[in-house]
Amino acid sequence: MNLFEHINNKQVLGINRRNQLYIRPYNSSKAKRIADSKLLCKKIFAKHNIPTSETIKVIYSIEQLNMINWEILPKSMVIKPNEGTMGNGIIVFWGRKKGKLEWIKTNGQIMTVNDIKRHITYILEGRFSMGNKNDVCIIEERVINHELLKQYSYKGIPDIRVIVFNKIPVMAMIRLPTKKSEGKANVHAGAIAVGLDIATGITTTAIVNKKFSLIDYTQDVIEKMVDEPYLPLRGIKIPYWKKILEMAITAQIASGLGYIGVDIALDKTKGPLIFEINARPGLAIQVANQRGLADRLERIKGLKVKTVEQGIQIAQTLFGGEVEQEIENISGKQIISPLQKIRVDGRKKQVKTKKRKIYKTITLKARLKARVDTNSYYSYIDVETLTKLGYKELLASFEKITSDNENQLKDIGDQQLKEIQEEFVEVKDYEITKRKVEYTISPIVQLRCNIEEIDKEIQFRVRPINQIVYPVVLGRKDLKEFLIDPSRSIAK
Amino acid sequence: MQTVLIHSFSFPHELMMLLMYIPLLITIIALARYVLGLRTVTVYTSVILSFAYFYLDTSATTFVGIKYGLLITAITIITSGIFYRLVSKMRMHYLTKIAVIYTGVILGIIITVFAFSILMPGRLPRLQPLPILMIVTLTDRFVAYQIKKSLKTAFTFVSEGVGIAVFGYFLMKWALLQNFLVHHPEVLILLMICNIVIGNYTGFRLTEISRFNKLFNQGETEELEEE
Repeated sequence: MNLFEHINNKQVLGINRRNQLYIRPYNSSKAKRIADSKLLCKKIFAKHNIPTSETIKVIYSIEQLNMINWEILPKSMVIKPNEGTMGNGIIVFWGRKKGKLEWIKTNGQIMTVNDIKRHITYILEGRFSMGNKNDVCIIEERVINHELLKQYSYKGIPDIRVIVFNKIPVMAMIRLPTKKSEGKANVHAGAIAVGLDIATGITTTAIVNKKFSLIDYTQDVIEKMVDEPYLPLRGIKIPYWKKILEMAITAQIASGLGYIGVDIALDKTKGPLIFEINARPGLAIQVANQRGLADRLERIKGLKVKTVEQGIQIAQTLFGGEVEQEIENISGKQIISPLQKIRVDGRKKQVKTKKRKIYKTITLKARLKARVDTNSYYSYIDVETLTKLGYKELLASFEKITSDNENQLKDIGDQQLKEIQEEFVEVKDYEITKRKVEYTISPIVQLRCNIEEIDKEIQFRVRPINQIVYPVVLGRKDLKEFLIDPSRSIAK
Repeated sequence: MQTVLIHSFSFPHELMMLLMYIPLLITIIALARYVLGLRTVTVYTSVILSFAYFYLDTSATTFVGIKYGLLITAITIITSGIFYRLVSKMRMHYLTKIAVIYTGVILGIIITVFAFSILMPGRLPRLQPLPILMIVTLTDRFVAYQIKKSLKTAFTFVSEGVGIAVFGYFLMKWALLQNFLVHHPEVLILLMICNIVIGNYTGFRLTEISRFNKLFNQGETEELEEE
């Protein structure tokens, strides 16, 4: 790597360039002071009708802290310093012990009133705040995580960051709290950052801090969740995207800052809520999106944007479309591997329970590796597996029927099907195959399968194992809901 | 001319040297921050550490100062780290916590000095108390960073600050530079110009280049495709 080769690169934004060309000229110190104070921000948000989480109480002094009636505080709440940085000093409570003045933190720890009071004293002393001056403590409502994002976050609320410059959203990402970040949506603490397509709000590339690194600024590109490695991060569509962009632009206009990072959370019932605004937004968003900011900012410098709507339109035409039509189709489709583990449900069987001589119905189930074969149209199952699933008699009843006349076999087949369907409803059709000179007949069985937690009825044709090698082969006909990822060679 | 000036007004040589080194060291710290990308502690800490190491030295030719200076720095960082961990879980007022950590640091230093006098009697040079005090104040910064950031960040910040201080120490030991600075106060003007140039630098910090390396390459291929 040549160190000096890139020193004057005009696409990527470095700290020096950000400070000199964007923060200093566009963010006045007065506006910065407002952005740094959560209380002043709340006032401005209220004035411009920007939804934010509701404040329960504001504590300015120790005297006031001693006079609080703890009984009236709700069971789920957040305590945070007014001028805190990087999520320091924030405590989230999700529950309260019944009849007691004790609150439960998201990690399960219990804090008594005295513990909470002490923490608030620290906040008031300014321990978590910029500089070393005294601070104010805010108690506010807890944001309840949106259903969609629940599976992607560990004990915390994901945080959508939109960089807005000159009334135009320039770049966006979502930060997902992980086990390592202890529920914090902070990349340096170990959270995952995922780039978002500005036009659609669909996730693109994702990064997480390197496991071992001397400089704690370097990140690795990842495809799947850290804690649950089978959850892909690409192609998630963030709900309320248009509203999020509108809120971000409105917040920029309201704050008086020219270059701003807006942090938005998604509440289960209230939708997007502004967390906070940042007058010195970090640069990791570029790594998350695998795309530089500098040239985007240069392109929109000095543009005259009249309305919020216009700002969104400019962003969508200039910076959107990273997610192409193809990937749009991906969203909602389950990704499987060429050798996919599946579960096949067979016959229901009456079994005698050991002690009480009572009959119990159980379903015979087979868990096996299926070959995903896009060359084949139909799906196949081998004879042995079908026997195991309780269809021994079914196979036997078809076995002896052979004929050298195809039409004759059809008549026999129709009759046989009617008979057999009385006992085996799973048999949907039959199939005539030519073996050397004679024709044979075999059933087509519809079985319930579970592929990557998706339940699906699949019609199988029956083949001996030496013809299909794998116990089950999935063909194109039954793969419409799935995408095959060849890099996933080993099944889950 | 300047030499004449200094001699004729009997300007103390040592004071002149000390004064000249302060802006030089601060300029180096600025360079390290904005061009190299080191996140130094505070300007004060690095400068004061350089001076502390320098004044621990018994003579101009030996390097005792840096040896024992770094030893005391290491003890300070380790003990304050340990005692911060112990105290952080306890329910105490903030200043009493700080006092406990400081006491622990001093305890660590006393134990080390004792160990030295038992294991290697007579080997420990007479250490100046004031520079040691200057080093021990590092505890303050280290604890503050641990509270506001994390142990890892605190450690990187402080070690980068110590690194610059060591560099500063060797500059201060360099007799040629010492002499030059004492006799050429016009260097101050040069330093000012130097800082104005650094102050307007908008290129990348060297540490950022590894951070954004992949993005640079991406940009290039995109341009090629457009052609």
